[in-house]
This record gives sequence, structure tokens and C-alpha cells, in this order.
Amino acid sequence: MNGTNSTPDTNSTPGTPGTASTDTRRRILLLAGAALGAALIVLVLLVTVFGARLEAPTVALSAASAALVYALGQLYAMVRALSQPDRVAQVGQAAGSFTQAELRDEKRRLLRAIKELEFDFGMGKLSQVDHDTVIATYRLRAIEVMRALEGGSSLHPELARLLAEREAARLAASQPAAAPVDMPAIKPAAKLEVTPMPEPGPAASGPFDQTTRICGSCGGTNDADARYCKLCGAAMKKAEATARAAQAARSGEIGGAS
Amino acid sequence: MSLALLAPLAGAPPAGSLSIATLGTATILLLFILSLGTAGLGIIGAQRRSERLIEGAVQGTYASFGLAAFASSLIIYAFLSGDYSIQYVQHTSDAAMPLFYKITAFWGGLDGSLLFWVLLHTLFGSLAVRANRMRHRELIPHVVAVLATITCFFVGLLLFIKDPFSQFLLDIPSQGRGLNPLLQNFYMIIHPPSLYLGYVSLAVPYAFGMAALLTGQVDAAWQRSVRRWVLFSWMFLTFGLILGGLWAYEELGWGGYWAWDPVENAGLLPWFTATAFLHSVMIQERRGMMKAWNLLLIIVSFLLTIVGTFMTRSGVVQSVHAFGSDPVLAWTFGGFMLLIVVVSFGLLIWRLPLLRSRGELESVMSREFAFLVNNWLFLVCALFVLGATMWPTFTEWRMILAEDYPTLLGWQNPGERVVIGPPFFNQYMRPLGLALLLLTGIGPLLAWRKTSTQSLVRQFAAPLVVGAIVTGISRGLGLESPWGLACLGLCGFTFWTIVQEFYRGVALRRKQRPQGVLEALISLVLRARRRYGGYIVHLGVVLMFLGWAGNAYKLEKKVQLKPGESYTLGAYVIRHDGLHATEDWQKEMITADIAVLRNDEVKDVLHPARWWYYQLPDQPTTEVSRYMTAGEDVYVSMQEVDMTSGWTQLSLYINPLINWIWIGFGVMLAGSLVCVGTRKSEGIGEDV
Amino acid sequence: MALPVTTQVILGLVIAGSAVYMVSAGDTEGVLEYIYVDKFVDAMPAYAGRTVKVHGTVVPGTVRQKVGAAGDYTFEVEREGRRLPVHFTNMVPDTFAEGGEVVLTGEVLDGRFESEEMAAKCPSKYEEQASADPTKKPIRR
Repeated sequence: MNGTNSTPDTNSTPGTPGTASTDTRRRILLLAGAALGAALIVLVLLVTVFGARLEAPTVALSAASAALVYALGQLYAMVRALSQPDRVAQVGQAAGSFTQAELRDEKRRLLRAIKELEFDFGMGKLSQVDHDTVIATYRLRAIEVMRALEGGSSLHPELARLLAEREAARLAASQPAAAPVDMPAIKPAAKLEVTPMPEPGPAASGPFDQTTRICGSCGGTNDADARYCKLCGAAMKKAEATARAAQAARSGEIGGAS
Repeated sequence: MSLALLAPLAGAPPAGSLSIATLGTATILLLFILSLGTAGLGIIGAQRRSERLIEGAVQGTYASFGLAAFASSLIIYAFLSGDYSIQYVQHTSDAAMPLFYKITAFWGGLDGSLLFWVLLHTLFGSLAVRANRMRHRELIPHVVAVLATITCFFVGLLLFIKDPFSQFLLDIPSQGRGLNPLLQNFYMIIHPPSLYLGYVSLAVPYAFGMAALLTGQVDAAWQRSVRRWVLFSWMFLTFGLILGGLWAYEELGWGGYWAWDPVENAGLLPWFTATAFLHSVMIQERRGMMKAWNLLLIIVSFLLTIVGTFMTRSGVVQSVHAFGSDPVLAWTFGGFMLLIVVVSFGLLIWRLPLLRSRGELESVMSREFAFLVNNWLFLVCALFVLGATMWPTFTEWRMILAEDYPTLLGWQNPGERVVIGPPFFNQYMRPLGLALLLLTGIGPLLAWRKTSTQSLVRQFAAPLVVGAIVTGISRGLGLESPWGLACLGLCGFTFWTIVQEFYRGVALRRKQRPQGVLEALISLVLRARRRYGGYIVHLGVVLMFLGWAGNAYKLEKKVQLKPGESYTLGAYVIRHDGLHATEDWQKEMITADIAVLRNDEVKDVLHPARWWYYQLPDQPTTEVSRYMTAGEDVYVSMQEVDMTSGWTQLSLYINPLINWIWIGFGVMLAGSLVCVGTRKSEGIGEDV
Repeated sequence: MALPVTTQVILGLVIAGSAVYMVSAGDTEGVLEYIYVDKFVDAMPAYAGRTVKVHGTVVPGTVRQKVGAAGDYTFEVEREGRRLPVHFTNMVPDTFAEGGEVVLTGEVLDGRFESEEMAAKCPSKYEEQASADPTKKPIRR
């Protein structure tokens, strides 16, 4: 009911030692143990020293002691937390990169979405056209996420090929691709350099981040008031649409920008 | 610790300054201050981005639970040790009560039930915060603040208005009044806690929703963690509601299980919106649509739990099982509800730009549209039931207003206060319910975005045929009522859609890898838990509708028989075979032997009875007896009985298909357990 | 199928409005007026021919039951000194008692309230009035 939190997320915040969660667990166990111990001690005391019979009210009283010990322990923990030196907290929008946990989460969701689509298609609910279009979008995005997770520093060959194809198609038709989605933070291989796989960029951080714009041709990040892309030189147009599309792909949604 | 505390253990009345009551009230005071502090720490910590303050707030949440647990254990101790200086204990227990009922008396009365609410709320808050501390770091400060504010409200009620530890100041009684024996049964142990679990747990999704709105992180995956909470809450609400119905059916003797009473409706309202949420959240995950809807549903669900609590505790609505009238409580709850409405909807409207859909509704023949209609239907159900439940109160207020200020609005005739009974509810809920049943069949078969005509035919041909066949057979069997026929036909339709999904899923799976049918079925369900668990729940729903269809054909008769006499009802003959009187330490009983015959064969002998508790000599109770089959129930309850002449007043009922309601509920529960179950390593294994 | 928001809102309001109208102006079976006995007695002619619910307290000593019938009682209910004779032709619920509050559904005929449906106040767990004397034996009816 609370979601699985069995594997402590050791990489969730940069700088937090991996022992933080095990530390918490140890503290919880300690507190629980102390509470139960107190209950037993009180029970024994009541029966032996105060001569109480071993029945329901006595047990209730020892349970009350357990609760009291737990409460006091937590109050102490609270005071202790307040007396620690301060650190900057991550509140509200996570500025900057997606964490490893979020990337893993997204990978799982994308793969699940792909499986569900194929299942639906197998059951005859989805048309071939819809299936093909959407699956391609998902697969591309999943590949990108997996590369980001592996910390790879080069563009996946398939991805590079697809981008190159699209670049060529765009140059031929002088219109950016319509249905599939522009990946914002990936620099095209046509630049002839092994570009590091960037994190999905600051433009991705806000749902409707107004401070940056994404180039419709190469997907690079530009300033909000840019009129020409600083990476590929194309005129900046349809920036909002591509930003939305990028956001859509990031969340693994069917249909993307349509 | 002063020995005065322990005095009740030795049987003596407590004396001295430090008694349970003082300790308990002190704990509640401390809890109030703590929750205020926690809320403040959360808000300020979020403002200043101070990890120290936020961590303090988090620990404060855990500590709140500790204090609430301590206060609860104190009151339970007071019950078990018979501390009658505390009013609450004296009113709802006595020395002779069995142990179990002494413990459950904790939540039996108003004050204790509020403390129980606080206990559960702080427990769920602690669990939610602990589970999501790392996963949703950005939201936690606001979540903690919202939860602490809610804690503060309820603890404030306890502290200022309804202290469960308040004592008798003079004339401390030495005996308890005792709990009404009518309420000393198994259901009293299970039904209220189950409903409370369902109610209270909705505060957690609400807190996350508010945090999402406050931080603007409405896109994040918060609603996926929250989905499991809502599922958990939904399970317990369903369980509590069904149990309430079963209790009424088995114990109260009027042959029915749901009377559209305000207290019953209070439990039903959040159930509607929670169900809508569980469905609608899938759309947000897949297509980024309905974000505003989902937040709205979460807000409304939580609001309805407060409204429900308000209705049952304030006396604002007349009900046979409300807690009683309390204007102070009414105004306090009213103020709280107003605050929730203003703040929540204000935030929602403020953040509306962020909640714009990223996908578009492309076709009517799409799963998105079906879910949209689903949302609307459930919302309409909730609003209708709420409106109809509150309408009598509004007419009463209108009357009072007109009497006190006759010239205010110049009304000629303000009208009477009215009472709205089951026929009104049934009249409008029937079509709504059938529409939902239809949607249950259609929804899963539609595809995302757009379903092609060819696909439509392929999906719906067989179910339509089955539905028509079922309607035809029912008509052929002589069943007439149009509502009943419609219900049966739709049951057949939806049933077949589910069967089809399973069948095709298994076939698909076997195509992917060679497997036996059973093996394929099991692995199918396990690998697509949410989808197939949901289908099992829908199957349960179909069975429940089957049970409800039987309502259209039920028979009811009140007769007076002497031993030896018979009465024919439907296909059965009811024969009175004698009376006998018995007694035990608690009550006197008169039991009748009623033989149920069909085709001249005795199917069963029923034993309806009438009990007179010594404690309540003027309020005898009816013990119902029934003969249960898959096809119907023969249900007999005894009213008046005279041992000397043998005259027995009996109410006889034949309730067709009613047991399918309970069976259907069991299936629903099984399905939801499948949905809830997760695996430790959530890798690519889980499909949907 | 994307309608502009304004159109959606207007459409929603129209649908909602017509629904509310349909419900409120529709068949009012199940919607009954609810009147306290004192007000009812004072204005009895006004309620002639209408099925209503009346709420009052059963006057002790006035309950008579017709012998041999499945359910046939006469008694009086009162409130604020106004008394209303009642003829109840059904079996009384378990919670029916002298001095207890009842809500009767029926109509007035020849100065007497004819009713077949009664709700008697549920023994409240929060306002326990029963005597706790366990030595008293119940009186058999």
C-alpha cells in the first residue's frame, strides 16, 4: 500500500552517503526495540513488584508504556534533527538533471507502455498505423533513457542513424518531422563529433519552462528570445510545440505531440 | 509514576492528581502543540529550503503518531480497567462486557471515534512520509505540512470540544452504563474500523495532491505512488460498506441491506470519486490528459470524507443512526470544510495553466472518451447522492429562515421540510448504475486514441450476442420488469467482454510461448496485474449487479401464524412447526421452528427468534433466519409472539439472487488484492 | 474533438442545469413532507389527502393492540401538548416503545392518522437511556 521501498536509493541525492537509509533503518529498529523492551520491563514490574494480575489491563498498561517510549524517542529525534547543521533542501522543482531513480522509473514505464501497446495490438484493439507510430516513439525514447542510465558518452548508432535520416529528410522537405518527436538535448551526429550524451537539459526541468527554447531542427537548447539557433543556425520557430512534444516523449505518453 | 494510575488494577477507584484522565488530556494538548509546530516547520522549511527544518517536521510527523498511540492506549487501558471516572468510559462500557467489546468501545462513541481517527491519520501520515521520503523529496515538506494541519484540526476538536478523557467532577459512578447489546456483535468490531481505514487514508493522496499543486510539480509521478493508497482506501471503503449492508440484512430483519440513509450515503460518496480516480489516473499516465480531473477527484474525495464525518456527527442530517445533534461541532466542521474548499480549489485554479492536457481527445470511440464519461458518471452519482441527502436539511433551514425572518425574502410559503426515501434514490441511481455497468463492458475493449470500425465489430460482436441471449432467456423464463431485464442483459454483455479478454489474452500468451492453458492464465494475470486484477474486480461488479437485478423480483409478506399453519409464498410453503422459550445469562429467547418446503420437500428449518436482554427489557431484538441458495434467499423474521396462544407474527421475504451480491463482493476483493500486490524487483517483468 | 474550454463549460452547465431541473421537478415518489405533530395537529385540514411523515412521541398508556390481527395498533403521539390519534396497520419495529419517538408515514382520515410505515428512534449508543439493573425480568407480551 505504500509502494515498494525495499531497496534504499543510495544515489538519490548527490552527496548523501549511501549509509543514510541503513542508518534510518537502524534507528527505527532501535526505537522499536526500545519500545518493546520497555513494555516487557513494565509488564514484569507490574506483576512482580506491584502484584498486578497478568490480565488485560496489565497488558494494556505495558502497551501504553511501549507507546510512550516510542513517542519520547521520536520527540527526541525531532529535537535532534532541528539541532543539526543546516543544508539546502531540494524543494519544489528539481533544478537540473533527472536523478538516476527517475531515469530508472521512466525506463520501466516506457517498457511497460511498449508491452501494453503490443498486447493491445495482439488483442486486436489497436490499428497497425497507430501501433507503428507510437511504438517507434517509445522505442527511441527508451533507448535514450537507457543510454543515459549507463552513462554512455556516445550516441547510440541506431539513434545516430535515425537522426541523420531525419536530418536528411528535413533538409529535403525543409519542414521538421511532424509525428515523431524531437529529442531536445541530443546534438546531431552530423556535427561529426562524439557528443557526450547530455542529461535531458534544463529546458526539460519545468513543465512549461519559459526561460529556454528548443530548436525545431536540431533540438538544441537556446535562449527564450533567440531567433536563430546557436547550434545549427536554423531559424527558431514552433518552439513551444517542440518543447511540449519533448515533454510528452519524456513522460512516455502515447501519441506524443498530437 | 504515581500509584494512583495503577489503582484501577487493584480494583480501587483512582485517586490523586495524576490519573489516566489528566495524563490523557495532557497528551492531547501536547499533540496539538506538536502538530501545530510540525505544520509550521514544514511550511517554513519549504520556504527557506532548510533541510534541518524539514527533517524536524518529518520527525514531528512520526512523533505525532507516537503521542496518538499513547493517548489511544491510555483510553483502552481505562476501558479495560474500568475507570468510570472518565465519562466516555462510563457511558459505553460496564464490568460485565466481554473483553473484545471493551476494546472496540474505544471507537464506539463520538469522542473516542475522533481519537481513533487521529490515531489512524497519524499512522498513515507516518507510513506515507517514511515510504516517500526519498522518492519524492521535493514534495515531502508540503505533504507533511498538510497532514499536520489536518491532524491539528482533529486534535483541536478533541482538546476543545470533545475530550474523550473528560471526567465526572462530582459523583463518580462506580458502574458503567454498558454498550447497547444490539451493538455487541461481530460486525461492530469490523465495520466501523474498516470504514475509518478507508476514510482516513484518503488524507494522504490529498496531501500529495496539494503538495503537487503548491510546488507546481503536477507532472511528476506522484499520482502513481498515490494510486496505491487510493486503492488501499477503496478496498477498505468497499469492505466497510458491504459489511454494513450485510449487517443490516442479517441483524435488523427488514429484509433489505441498503436504505439510502444519510450515514450509509456518507460512506458511499467518497467511494464514487475514489473509483473514478483509480480509473482516470491511468489516462494521465498514458496520455498526459485529465490532470485537472485527477486532482479534482482527489480533492473531492477527501472533502467528501470530511463531509461524511460532518453529516454523521453534527446532527445536521436526520438519520436513524447518526451520533446525535451537536451545533458546535456542526459549525466547526462547516468552517473546516469551507477552508478546504477555498484553499484546494483556489490552488487548483491557480495552477490550471500547468494542468493543460498534452494529448487531445481524438475520437469518441476511444478509451480516453470512455474514461471521461466514466468520470462524469461517478461524479454525477456522488453529487446526486450528496444533494439528495442534504436536501431535507436545506428545506429545514429554509423553514427556519422563513420563520425567523418572515420578511427577509418575502416568501409566501416556504414549504415543509421533506424527507427523501429510498424510492427517490433508486429511481435515479438505477439508470446511472446501468450506464456504469455498460461502460464497464465497453471501456476495456476500446483502444487508446481511436478504435477502428473493424476492431469495434471484432470486439463487441460476441458480447452483444450474449447480452441479447441472456435478455431473451430471462424474458422467456417469465421475468417481466424492464429494469430487471435490462440489468440481466447488461450483466451478460459485460460478463462476456471480461471472458473474452481472458480468453484472447491466454491465446495471445500461448502464441508467444508454448504453455498449458492454466499456466498461461496464471502467468497472464501475474504479469499484467493491474489490468487483469481490474478485470477480476469488474467481474465482481457484474456479479453484484446480478444480485441487484434480483431486487426487481422480490416478494414480501407479513403473516400471522399459529403452530401447524402454513403460508404459500412464491414457490415455497412456509410452515410453522412450533415455538420454544429458552434463556441464558444475558437474555431470554423465544425461538420458532419454521419449515421451508418446496415441491413438498422440506428444504430447511429456520429458527427466527425474539430476544429480550435483561439490560434492555423494553427493547427486544429480532433474530433473522434464512435459507440461502444461489437462486434466492428465503428470509424470515419474527415480530410479535405470544407463547400462550402461539400466535406468531412473521415477516416473510423471498429475495432472488441476493447472495450474488456477497459473492460478487468477494470476487472484487480478490481482484483488488491482485492489483495491490507488487513484486520487490519492479523490473520490466510487470507489464501493465 | 477538442472543443474550446468556454464551449465545454457552457455545455456542462446546460447539461447540469437540465439534470437538476429534471430531478427536482420530476416524479416525487419518495420525497415526503416531514412535520412535527404539534404543527400537524394545528393545521390538520391543510394536509388532508396528502401522504406525509409525522414525528412525535408515543403517549404512554395509549397503546392498544387488536388481538388476533397480524399488526393493528392504535395509540396516540404527542408533541408540545398536541395529541394525534394514530391507527397503525402493520407490525411495529423492535424499537417501538411507550415514550419513544416515532416517525409515521401515512395520511389523515377522519381525524385519525392512518399509517403503515413507522420508524422508531434507534437506541443510540451515545445517549444510553436504558436502566442498567440486571435483576429486572422482562414482561412477556
